[in-house]
Amino acid sequence: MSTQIPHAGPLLDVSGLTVDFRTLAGPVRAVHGVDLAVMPGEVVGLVGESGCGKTQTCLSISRLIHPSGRIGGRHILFEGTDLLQLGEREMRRLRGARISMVFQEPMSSLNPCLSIGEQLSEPLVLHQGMDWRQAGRHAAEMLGRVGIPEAKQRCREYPHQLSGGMRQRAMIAMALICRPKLLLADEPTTALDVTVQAQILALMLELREQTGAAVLLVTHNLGVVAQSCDRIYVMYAGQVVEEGTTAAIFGRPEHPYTRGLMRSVPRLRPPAGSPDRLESIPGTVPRLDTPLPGCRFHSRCAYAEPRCSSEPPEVRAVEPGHLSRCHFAGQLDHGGAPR
Amino acid sequence: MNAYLSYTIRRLVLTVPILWGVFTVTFILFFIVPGDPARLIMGQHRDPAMQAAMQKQWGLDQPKHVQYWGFLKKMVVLDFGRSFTTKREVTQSILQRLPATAVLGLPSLTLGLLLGVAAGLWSAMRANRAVDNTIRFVTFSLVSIPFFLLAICLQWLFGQHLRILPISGYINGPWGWLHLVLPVFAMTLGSFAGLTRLTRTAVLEVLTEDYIRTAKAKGLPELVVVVRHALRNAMIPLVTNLSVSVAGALTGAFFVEAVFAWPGIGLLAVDAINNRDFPVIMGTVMFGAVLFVIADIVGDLLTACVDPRVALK
Ligand SMILES: Nc1ncnc2c1ncn2[C@@H]1O[C@H](COP(=O)(O)OP(=O)(O)OP(=O)(O)O)[C@@H](O)[C@H]1O
Ligand code: SF4
Ligand SMILES: [Mg+2]
Repeated sequence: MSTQIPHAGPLLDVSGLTVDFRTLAGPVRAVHGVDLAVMPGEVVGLVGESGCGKTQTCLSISRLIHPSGRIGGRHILFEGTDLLQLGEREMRRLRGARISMVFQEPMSSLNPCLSIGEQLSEPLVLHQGMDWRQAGRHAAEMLGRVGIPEAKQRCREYPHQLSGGMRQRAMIAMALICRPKLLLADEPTTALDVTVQAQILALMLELREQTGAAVLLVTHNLGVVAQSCDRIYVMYAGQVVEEGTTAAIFGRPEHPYTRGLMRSVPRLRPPAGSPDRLESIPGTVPRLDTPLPGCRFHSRCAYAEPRCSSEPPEVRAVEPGHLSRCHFAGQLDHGGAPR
Repeated sequence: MNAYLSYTIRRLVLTVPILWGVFTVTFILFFIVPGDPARLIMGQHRDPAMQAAMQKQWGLDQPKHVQYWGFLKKMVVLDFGRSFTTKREVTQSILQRLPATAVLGLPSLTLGLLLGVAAGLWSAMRANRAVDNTIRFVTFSLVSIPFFLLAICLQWLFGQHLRILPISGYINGPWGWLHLVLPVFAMTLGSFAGLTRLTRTAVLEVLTEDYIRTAKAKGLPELVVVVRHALRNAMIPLVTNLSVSVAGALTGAFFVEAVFAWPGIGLLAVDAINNRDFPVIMGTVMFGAVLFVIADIVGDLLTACVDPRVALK
């Protein structure tokens, strides 16, 4: 199989990904031509406002979107294999073994009727052919490694007996127990207390370093991506609008939406002269069930020109590896000043 | 295990007032409904002297509160007195007919449960497809048709029309079990339909839960996801409502035994009601109440087994 051949190039290469839903109100295109790549061992951030399609992008990589949805696109290459062409059986062999997921809600993402140990053991029994005893020992060990004290005892407990932070630790342990190559983490810290968030994030990154997994980290928290990601994709209304290294995105954001997002991050020490009020982007996300001519951001864009409402912008490289979907990418600061 | 035992004991103690309530209501109902059992037994030949003598013999001439206490006191030691019509000990009659009812009820409840859960699961896994629509149509029809009508239709189809099965009664002998087929079938259909619908709804609800997505993300095959992760959670409302299913089965037994002339406790009760045979009515009602209460306790114990979040208090 192709997975045995050492594979140079990206671990994950998503091209032209679309996700369509049929709803009672009509068709909805939740993801609209997303290109995205993750290199082996890399931590990649996927950020954007609520509803921009982050979760659907993530779920369609492991082909777990709601049955009413359809995944389309050129390809989703994982270790060189096109996941869009795989049968359900082969796909199942990858899930939990080479591609794992961590979800937002640690409360509801664990089965209330199965013990933590059973749930952690399941992937080992399934993918590595261990018996339940052996898997149980590994599960306890893994639980210890994610910083849960008295792991043996905890294995026998049920999700409701653990705190939210503990549960998310258990989720992470479960996702990494088969040493996957890719971890899809959909807002892994959003539902947690602020104090616990940092611990969980640190834990994830530490384990990632130990296991060598690449991470696609979905979040709407720019602080989280700034701390942990090598590269960032910014999504808006189902599209990637900017892509670049963390340094590039934070240092020289080249899409008006990214600039808006940055300004809406509260700062501890606002630069002198700036208003101390949190500046959020005015307006709302456009509806995805109607055709959107022109730039999807134009109704909210401070840099918009007349052509923006009719002519959809192409993706342009501002510098190698730094792309922006804006007519004025690279010239925002020289062209029209923000109104 | 200790928690289970002490819980059971506490619940059993709590059933005493429930049973007392059932007794009181039955007693009141019996005397509200007009009609004198002695008069009924004599039929056409009315003889006031004999009627009075019978009433005296059964204690029906005494003030109501005296009768009430008399019955209640004897009932505590499971003595319901003798039947007005057959003169036999009520407790004896019930025990004697218990096997007939059990031989009908246990297989049909078990079959109904197994088939109902399986069909409900299948239906939920193929939601809104042909299989599901068929199962839903059939079970909906079964639930909507009055039970006795269904039983009579079965009698007509297999007994009159196809002439392959006996339509009623209970006969010992090598082919005696054939008499079981139609009544068991009728009763199974009844519990099957209800349980299929319950299971389908419960499984469909559970399938939308986040932990089902987690299970799929582990790479588990659909059947494992449904059986290990969904069915277990979907069983919670089912076992919690075990007493409701048992109550349904009891009502079913009542009709089935009457229609198929099956000499079980249901038929005993039907005959007793027709004859206004108070001791037998009370005996069978209390028997049903005890069964119901036990099912309720067992249901709670099972819920605590299945759902780790439930602690027995
Ligand atoms: N089952 C569905 N049927 C129809 N539309 C859906 C369905 N699931 C998601 N969508 C649509 O897809 C869009 C993208 O949803 P998605 O969950 O990916 O957003 P998100 O970026 O993860 O947001 P959040 O930050 O709130 O999690 C939403 O606008 C939503 O309306
Ligand atoms: S294309 Fe126009 S509307 Fe869109 S982001 Fe650029 S400036 Fe704004
Ligand atoms: Mg989301």
